[in-house]
Amino acid sequence: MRGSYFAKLAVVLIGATMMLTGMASAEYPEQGKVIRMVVPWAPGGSVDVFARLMVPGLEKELGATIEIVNLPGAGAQVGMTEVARSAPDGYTLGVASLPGLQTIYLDPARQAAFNNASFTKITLTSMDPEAIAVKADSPFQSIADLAEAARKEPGSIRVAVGGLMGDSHLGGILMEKAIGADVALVTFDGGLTPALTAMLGGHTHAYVGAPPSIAAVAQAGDIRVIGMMSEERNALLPDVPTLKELGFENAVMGASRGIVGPAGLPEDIVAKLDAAIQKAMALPEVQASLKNAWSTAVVAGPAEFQSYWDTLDADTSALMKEVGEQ
Amino acid sequence: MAGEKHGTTSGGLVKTVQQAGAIAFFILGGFILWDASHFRYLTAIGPGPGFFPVWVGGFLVVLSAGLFIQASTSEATFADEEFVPDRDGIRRVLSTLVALVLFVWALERIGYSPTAFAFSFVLLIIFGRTRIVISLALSVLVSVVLFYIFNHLLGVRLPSSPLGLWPAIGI
Amino acid sequence: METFGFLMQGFAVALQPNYLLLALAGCFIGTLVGVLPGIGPSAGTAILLPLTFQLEPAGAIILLSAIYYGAQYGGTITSVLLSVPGEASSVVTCFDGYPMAQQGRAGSALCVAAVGSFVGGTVATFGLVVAAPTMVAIALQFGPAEQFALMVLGLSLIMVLAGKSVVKALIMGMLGLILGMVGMDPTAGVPRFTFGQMHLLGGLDLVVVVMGLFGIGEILVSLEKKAAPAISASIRSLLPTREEARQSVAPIARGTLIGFALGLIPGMQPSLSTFVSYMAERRLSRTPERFGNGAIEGVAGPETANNAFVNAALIPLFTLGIPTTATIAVLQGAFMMHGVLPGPLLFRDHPDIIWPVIASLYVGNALLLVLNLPLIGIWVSLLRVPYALLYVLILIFTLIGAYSITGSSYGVGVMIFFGVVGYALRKLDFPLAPLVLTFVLGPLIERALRASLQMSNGSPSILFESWTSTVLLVAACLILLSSVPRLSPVNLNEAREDNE
Repeated sequence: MRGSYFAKLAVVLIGATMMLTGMASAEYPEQGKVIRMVVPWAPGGSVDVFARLMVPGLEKELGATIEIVNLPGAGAQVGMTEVARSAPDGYTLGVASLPGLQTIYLDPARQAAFNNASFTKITLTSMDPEAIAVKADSPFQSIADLAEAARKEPGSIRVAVGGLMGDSHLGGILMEKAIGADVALVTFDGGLTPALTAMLGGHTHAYVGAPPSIAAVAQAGDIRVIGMMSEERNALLPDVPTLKELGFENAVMGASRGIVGPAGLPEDIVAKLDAAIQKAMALPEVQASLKNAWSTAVVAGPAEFQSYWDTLDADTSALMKEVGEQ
Repeated sequence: MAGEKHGTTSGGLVKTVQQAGAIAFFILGGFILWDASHFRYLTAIGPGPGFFPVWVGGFLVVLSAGLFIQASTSEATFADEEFVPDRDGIRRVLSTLVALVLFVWALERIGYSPTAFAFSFVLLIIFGRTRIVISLALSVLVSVVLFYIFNHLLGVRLPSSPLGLWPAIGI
Repeated sequence: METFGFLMQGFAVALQPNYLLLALAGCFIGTLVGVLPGIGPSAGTAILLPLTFQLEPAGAIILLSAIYYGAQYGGTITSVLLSVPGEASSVVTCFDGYPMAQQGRAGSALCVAAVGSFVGGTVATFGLVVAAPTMVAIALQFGPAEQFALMVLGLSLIMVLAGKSVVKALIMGMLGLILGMVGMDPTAGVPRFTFGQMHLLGGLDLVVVVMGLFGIGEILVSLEKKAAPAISASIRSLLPTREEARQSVAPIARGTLIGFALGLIPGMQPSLSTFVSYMAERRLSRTPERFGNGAIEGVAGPETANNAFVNAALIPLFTLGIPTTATIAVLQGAFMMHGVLPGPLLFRDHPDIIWPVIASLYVGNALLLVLNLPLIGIWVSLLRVPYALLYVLILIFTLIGAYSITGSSYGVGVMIFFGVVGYALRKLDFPLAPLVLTFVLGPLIERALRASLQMSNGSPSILFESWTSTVLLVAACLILLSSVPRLSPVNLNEAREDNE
């Protein structure tokens, strides 16, 4: 009797231990648990569309259900605060847009509840350089034309850009410095759409914004892209010279996007997510839709993403100090 | 047409309340002015963050002063009796307010279902539906059924409850 | 002309059973979504967005568009029957729609709203087909300076809403401006009036505030009295009388024009079209004192303007790829997800998608009418629900709605705060309409002014650079001046007496 009692006890103990250790190292992602991907913008925007395009492929790769949660507010601040505050268990992710996000925490007035260290960088997914565009019938055919006109009459050239301290605005500032003449930068609170509308209506002479925002009208020939703020020519617009080529130094700016999680995410989860995201990004349908939207996919893993972020932090911080409060 | 129709009372309470309202707006206007002084009035290009608040606060101060004068010198809009609700009315309004505040407090702490259940049950009774069983049933409808509909059909994520039974039935 | 031919082909496709079904489903879902407070068309379309993956592009857009304009009508239902606006553009309908319901004329209000919506939507779509590029070109003339002038004009009409006490209306206007300033200011990005609360950094959400002020505020006021006599009033008839129908014709016509024009202009909101229509009707009416007490023009005009706006706003999306409202941005997202870039090339590259969609807009507007007219009887019978349950349900739905919009119980708390404010304001007999108007217009005006001044490096002369803005500003001045007599001491005394 005692023997069988001990035997049963042993079985129970061993079974319990197995169960417990099994539970402790439960496979990520667990069956039935939903992963939240926070998009800190309203539905329909470019970030939202990107997330929705990528998520189906990602779900397949990970073998889990992913739910997109839109938490707009204060220019991504509300949504990213939520991500930063979530438990680092891999079930809350976010889509970060740089340098926009950085301008939030680098500006003390914004009272951001997060900073660089609040996020685990998982995968960089795209980098869209700022494009400088004019109307097709504009008298300005090139950056040189714009620069000349600006030098002749400082402040007369109006350039439409997006929200305050966003990538488009920063791009405009850099362009102004590179040209070496005063332009009138007009910021539009509602983002790139009203900025583009203003230029199309002839109220501004030029526009600075990432290619996805102008894909439709540029492809139709209503506007012409006269310069790109990137290191090298962009594959989607191979005929457009970079400002660097044209002799304007320090005129590189763009909007990058990546998937992040709260700080302290375990390495194995990060690795798993990174692998799955990169695979999802490589899917033909995702590649095709990104290309169609004039978005340039650039994929990098956690370490590269982190170092890119750090460099960008320093650059953005310096730029913001120079600009000061207008 | 003026005095005879309404209130044989001179509307003392109503008048006081109206005056209090004017004073409240006066204070608000003053606060806005004070707060706005911390912002820049003008920037290099045009109005700064403080520009509009200063004007709005200023107008509000002036207008509420005018309102105070108007409230003090004119006839009351309606009689005291109409202004203050009867006991039942007060009870209903106050309990609704309390219920609403508790709802907000409890929503993310104990989840939607128990909160909504308690909320609707209590209010149904207070509003006059005294048949307990029906009220219970309706409250269940409001909490559980709506939770399912909103969460699963409409994708509105209502907080789920960590309490007791509720997780067991998947809420 | 060939456009007509394409349109006919579009109809041939759109009238196929599956697309017809999608349009019908969209109208139905949209109406339901509109009825639920706080769950507006933007949220509704976003929710279904992933589901539309399964459909091919034309079908997906047809479904989503139908939800979009269907939701406009859904919001009307709760505004008329319960004075609970489901979204910003339904607020104005409460002013006269609810009194109509209290007089037993709910069916009439809903019917006129349905017909008006149909007319507005159809004419707007007609405009889309016939003259889209021209319209857009004209609309693009409205840059920041012109938008500023237009909105100042809108603001100048506020006196029309003043009703009994001018001082109170102006105070409400100021309060609305203050509420609109909560959040980050557009000039320097510094937080204003946020008391350090992060949740307020993005500003106050209009729908949350409106649901609080009108929905909860109204309920609190109603709770003071035992039975709810208003709601249990007998329903006279579900159709409008001859007289009412006759009175609605002109407002519907004007509403169509107003909604269509504003829908094209960049920077406008649907709610503004309802306000402008309401104020226009009140100003033009020979008996303005009927407004606020169940004047059918106050329902016919805004409801038509609403749908005209919503359909007209699709034009910039289709012709330029520019979404002018949040919901249209969702539609744009839907296009993009199916690999279609809305914009100038849409008609050239994807005629097989866009023409059925446009045809479906006609079909959908008709379906909406056909769907909703018979349902009026059902909606109205909702009023027979015992008021205890009805109030609890309304409260629960608005609470859920506030949570769904803001994503946190903080937002729900904000709504309740405004519920208390709304209650207090009603008790003190302050008109809420001016508050909503300035709340919407204030931020827009500030931004437009700032953008204009950035363009001119600070010189205000830019506001008079174009004929359009000059004319609008002059008109605004004239309107304000014509309202001044109301402010004279003589009239103020009379107004006070009119208070009784």
